[in-house]
Amino acid sequence: MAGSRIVVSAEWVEMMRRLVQAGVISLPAASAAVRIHGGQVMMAQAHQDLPKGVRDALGDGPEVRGMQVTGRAGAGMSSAPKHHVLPKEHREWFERRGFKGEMDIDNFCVRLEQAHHEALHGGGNWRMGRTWPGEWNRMIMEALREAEVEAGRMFTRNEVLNIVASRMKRYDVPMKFTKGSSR
Amino acid sequence: MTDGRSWQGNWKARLYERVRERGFDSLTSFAESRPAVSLNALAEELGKDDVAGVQVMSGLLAEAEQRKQVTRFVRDVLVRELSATLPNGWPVVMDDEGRFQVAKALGCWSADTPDTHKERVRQARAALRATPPPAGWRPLGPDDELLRMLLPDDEV
Repeated sequence: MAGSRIVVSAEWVEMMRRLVQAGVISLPAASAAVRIHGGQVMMAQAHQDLPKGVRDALGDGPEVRGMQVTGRAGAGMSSAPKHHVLPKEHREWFERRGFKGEMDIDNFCVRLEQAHHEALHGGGNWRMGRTWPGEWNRMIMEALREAEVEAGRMFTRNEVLNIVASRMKRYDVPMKFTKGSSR
Repeated sequence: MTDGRSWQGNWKARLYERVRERGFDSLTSFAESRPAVSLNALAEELGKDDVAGVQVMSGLLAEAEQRKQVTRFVRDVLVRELSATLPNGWPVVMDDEGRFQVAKALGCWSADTPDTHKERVRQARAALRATPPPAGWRPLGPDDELLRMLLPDDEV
């Protein structure tokens, strides 16, 4: 559907997970589909006008005026670096909760532009770096660990994803998972 | 939903510009006019595609620090978290789902609490576990009686 959007919700994560687990789609196919879908979202939302030189070359007209710069990310060809949503330094913690094999934390990476990435780790004051209390890695591990304390038990993979998904929305991290490197 | 645009440009300036456009002189007064509304919903109202909930939260914290009302801010964060996670109030039946939603809300509350108040929040959570609130409890603002008992103001 034109103009459709990714629904950022735990239900969505769960649906993708089920489709992958049921063998309906492969994980690479799932992330490819999401990337393309994400490209449409970006194009629909991009807000920068075309540079004047490009407009001149294309000629004036409503279509051209409606065109906007999306960058490679908007065209679904993002080259922005990939980052782990589930912190690598806690890989074992996630493995114990079922993030193994096809559901390895390396499969939960997102592409982020540098400014966005720095903001998540520095709260807009980049010099603070990981000393910012709201820093992503510190925040997500605390939310998960403290929630487990409340529940009095270890969470399942789905429960971890449920909390992570709600935190991604809070930090405006696009819900477009891609496979990253394990380095 | 947003798609990463919240972090483009000068987001702090954008945040305050939107607050002023809506006729408020501070983020706090904007938020107070919308009690028990989730931080993500506040962000969405300020900018459907380019304001994130965590930005609203960090702005509210900065103002609370200036006003010396951080404890009140911490209670308010829980109220807004509960309204998103437990919209019908404290679970009537504590089944697995109810327990998980409570754990999620309280775990996220701790994570969102500034370092100065983390220990007090840990104690408040322990008190909640020892003596759970009545079923259906749904605080409507930071002045909720039970919440003020759990986390009283200490700043004057």
